[in-house]
Amino acid sequence: MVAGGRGKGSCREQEKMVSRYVKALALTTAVFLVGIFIGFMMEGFVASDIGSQATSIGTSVQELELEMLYLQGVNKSESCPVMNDIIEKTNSAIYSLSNELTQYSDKNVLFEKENVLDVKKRYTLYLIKNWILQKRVKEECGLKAPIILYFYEREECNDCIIQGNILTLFNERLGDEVIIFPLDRGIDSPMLALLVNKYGIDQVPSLVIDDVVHKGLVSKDDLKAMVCPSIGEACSDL
Amino acid sequence: MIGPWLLFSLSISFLALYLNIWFMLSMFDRKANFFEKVPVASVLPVVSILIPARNEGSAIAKTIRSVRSLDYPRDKLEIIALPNACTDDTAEQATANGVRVISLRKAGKANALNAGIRRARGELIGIVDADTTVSRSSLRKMVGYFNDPEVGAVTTFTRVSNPRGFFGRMQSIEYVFSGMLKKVFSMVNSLYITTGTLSVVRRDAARKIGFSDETHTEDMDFAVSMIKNDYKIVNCLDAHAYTSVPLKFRALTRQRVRWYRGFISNARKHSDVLFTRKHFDLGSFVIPVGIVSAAAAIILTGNLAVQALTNVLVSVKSLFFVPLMDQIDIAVMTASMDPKFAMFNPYVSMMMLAVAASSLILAVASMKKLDRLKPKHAVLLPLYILVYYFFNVVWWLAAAAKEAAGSRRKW
Repeated sequence: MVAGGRGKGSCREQEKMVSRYVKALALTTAVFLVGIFIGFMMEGFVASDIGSQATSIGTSVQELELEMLYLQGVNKSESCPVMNDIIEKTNSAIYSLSNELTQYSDKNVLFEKENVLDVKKRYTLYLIKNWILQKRVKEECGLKAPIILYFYEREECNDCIIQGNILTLFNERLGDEVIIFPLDRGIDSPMLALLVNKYGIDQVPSLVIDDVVHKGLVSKDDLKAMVCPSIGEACSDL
Repeated sequence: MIGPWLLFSLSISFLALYLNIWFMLSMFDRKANFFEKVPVASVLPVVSILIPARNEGSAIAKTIRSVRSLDYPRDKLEIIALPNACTDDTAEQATANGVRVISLRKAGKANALNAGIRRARGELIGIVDADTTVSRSSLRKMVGYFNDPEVGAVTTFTRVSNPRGFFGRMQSIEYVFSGMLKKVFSMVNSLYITTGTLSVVRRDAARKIGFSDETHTEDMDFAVSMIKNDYKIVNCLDAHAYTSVPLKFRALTRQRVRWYRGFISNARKHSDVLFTRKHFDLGSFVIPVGIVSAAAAIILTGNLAVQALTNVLVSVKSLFFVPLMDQIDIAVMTASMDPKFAMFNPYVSMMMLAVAASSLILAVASMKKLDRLKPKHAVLLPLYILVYYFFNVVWWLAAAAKEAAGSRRKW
């Protein structure tokens, strides 16, 4: 039995082997396609969720705009409390969506990229419109809440992570005492470019607090010192 | 439309899933093979067991005793100890245990084995390292495979004899998986290693091919040469051998870097089998996949390390800008955010899920055949995947770097 004569490798065995590679490829492709399909569903679900949130913010902003138009003739003691109410409602929705949008990287989006980018752009425009309106309300009604424009970028900005955390803390603890508008500098929008130009934002993160520009990361304590004088008592929560 | 990182992640998870499915098909589709009954030899051949040893005076007696107690006719079993360049009592120990001793002045396992096969009486040669013991029934189960004249070598299922400490336990899991891999590889005629944990080889083939210390691992060099000479190498899962593994990090690192360098240098030495029709399974699948997997593991781990480092840096920097108490609050707020917007990619995570599920099936199936699944594995398996894997990446990296630098090997 030990004599080392060798026969040919059987053809059937060879075919069986080849078919295993093909079979494995077919199965893997099938699982892969199912995975892509489920991913596609998840992506669509998230994209439409963000889209509808953005739309509802758009509606609130439009309402604010209309109401301001309507209340222009009415005396301030009547119109200001109403507008304040609307602003409060809009602001909380804006901040929660901005958090979600910041998290949702379009790097991970395969099919809905255009859609998500479009939502981000729309959202940015609502944000800016809201900011303009709120600035006007602030002037006309003499509100104290500081208005902060926060310029950030999603990718490769580690300081933005820290700055974002600090602002989240302020938003959470101070509520409507401070109004924050986070703007993704990476969004391609002429209106955004106008603001970036006006305030000379050449680095992220940057904060514009009531028209005063602060470039670079602002610590919690420094930010506190900037906004607290106009807020007063509520700041003790920080 | 699709970024390079996403493309890479998707391709790697595709490859991983493909491999898992390929293994599953091998294991389950041809049940007769993975769970096969061992063939019985009509006539038991004479077997010469070679025990190469260098300064193994403390271990060799145990190895010899286990070989002597093999369930095999005494007159058909020759045991030869091959002490080479020893400065201790290895030769005396071997003589005292009543085996034939061929002492060699020159160092080197390949050299010792060549001397052994020249003078061995048996038609079959068994190779057992001095750190290994064999189970009583192993040899008898293996010789039946030589009924097939194409079979040139048979290997065992190797287990760890000293599964102590972290590295011992990790290796005991690793040996179960590599045991499964070897069986599957042997089923597609691509088992590329005949380890010194009892490999039985046809003497004529061994004489024809011979052992060489040119690469860092003579057992892979020999096995690939066998395959190139049209011999089949099969694995017998029912034949068990027990090897004592390095338990200390340094010793284990030295062993692994040598092994992985051996893999690389053998892939280079035998590059003529790569991407050929004749050796399709070995040259176009098993070896390239081994290289790609190692490279992918290095890249993935590197990326993970960079991300982890960035996170640490951000956290540290963050301490200067936000007090620690507030950071805890922020962490809670971030954690309570809607998870569907989290950073992970839906496609890669779906694929990862499929890979994890298929890996689990493979793990459970192989454990069922090779080792009983015990509750302790619930703790050890995650450690194996998360921690031990990382060490392996480091060893691969070190081996690749050393091989690239062409530095001289250190024994």
